[in-house]
Amino acid sequence: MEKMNYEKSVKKLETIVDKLENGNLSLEEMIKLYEEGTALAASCAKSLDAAELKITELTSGKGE
Amino acid sequence: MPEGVVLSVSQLNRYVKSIIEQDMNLQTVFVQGEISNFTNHYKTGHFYMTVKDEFSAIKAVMFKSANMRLKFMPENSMSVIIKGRVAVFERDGQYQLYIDDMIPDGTGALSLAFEQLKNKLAAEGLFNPENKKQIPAFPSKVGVVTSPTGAAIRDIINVISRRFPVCELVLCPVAVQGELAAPQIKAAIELFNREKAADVLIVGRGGGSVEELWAFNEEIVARAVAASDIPIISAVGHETDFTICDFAADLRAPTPSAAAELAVPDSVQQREMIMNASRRMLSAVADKIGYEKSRMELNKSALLRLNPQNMIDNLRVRCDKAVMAMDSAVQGFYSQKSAEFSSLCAKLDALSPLKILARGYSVASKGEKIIKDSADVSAGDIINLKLGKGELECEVTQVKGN
Repeated sequence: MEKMNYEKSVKKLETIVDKLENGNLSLEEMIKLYEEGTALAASCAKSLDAAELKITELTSGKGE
Repeated sequence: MPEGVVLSVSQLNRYVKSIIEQDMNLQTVFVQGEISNFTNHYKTGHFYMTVKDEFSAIKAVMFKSANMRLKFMPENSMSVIIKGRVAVFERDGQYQLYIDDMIPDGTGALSLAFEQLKNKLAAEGLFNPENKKQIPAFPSKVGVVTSPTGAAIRDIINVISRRFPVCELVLCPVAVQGELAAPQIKAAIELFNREKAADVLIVGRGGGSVEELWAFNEEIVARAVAASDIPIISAVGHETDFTICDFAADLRAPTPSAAAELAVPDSVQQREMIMNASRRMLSAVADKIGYEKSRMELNKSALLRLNPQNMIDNLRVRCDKAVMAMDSAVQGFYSQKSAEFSSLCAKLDALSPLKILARGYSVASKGEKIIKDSADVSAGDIINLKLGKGELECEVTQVKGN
């Protein structure tokens, strides 16, 4: 994931679900959060579907 | 000892005992040999045995207080190195080996080294559970310190590709056996920490002999593992292989594949979690919409109730009712009055003098005055008689009193 890593996205998604369920929000706020949440869920699912494990090598030359 | 003096057996044994026990060389001896005639005395818990080599044997005893500390159980034909002292059992005139400690010979040397290092590091607190770091739930980068050519790296790549391809695998190839292995493993762990190149590290190798796995029992590896800020999963050999590295790591995996599974979440479960989150979000919003809808319905009906048109309609109905009531009241009054009138008319009719005249009576009048007393007229007067039909002019011929 370029913009946000998977962990952050999942954490954010969990927060949104929690807010939606317990947040006592206005309908407008809820719909806004819902849109954000569905977008996050879609991007998380997409990054899970996405493809191949990236493999890199760490060598002692790097950064020294 | 003076010649010709006769000693008792006890005196002799005591003398020999004192000679032997004066010899400092015999107070601490290391003896290598094979155990035979081993007995674990059922009552006292002392071990009795014979220690022998090709040519000789010596009786030996290891008291319970000493053998309690042994990490292994001695057996017949086991080759051991014994630390003890030589002394005499006076009663039997028997000199023997009193064993303080013993270790298995041969491969036992490695396992002794293992135990010693393990005890030493444990005493320093390197393995304390409270120092164990939490393995992150969703690592972005998984670092791997292992051989670039072994089965371990293949297994790890396979498992992580399948389970959680979202993350990045950062490999740091090292030798995992031989002289170079331990320093390279240590250096790799330190490099990962310096570069902050991973969120979790897998350190390990596939199965092998105790000697092949030995690098993971080296002190420098154990210390590097314990000192790492990045949480480390140790995965050395097979399920049954335990290394010092396992104890120092934050988590021990039985195999490299298992380490990979412990390092990353399962994407199938993640998908389920995401779907579940989507469902929960949807139902939260749907609930809210349902709630708002019913609230709106309530408001709508309240509004309908309070509509001024309703009040106007109500007033109009009341007004119409009042008019109708008024109408019927007037109607009633009129018909009552008209009935009264008719009956009055009938009464009036019945009382009409004309009706009386019709029955045969007549009204006599003189001039304008109705005659009610005979005294009011005199003979010769002309009076008028009004009959039921017509009138008569009559002349009074005689007046009679009553």
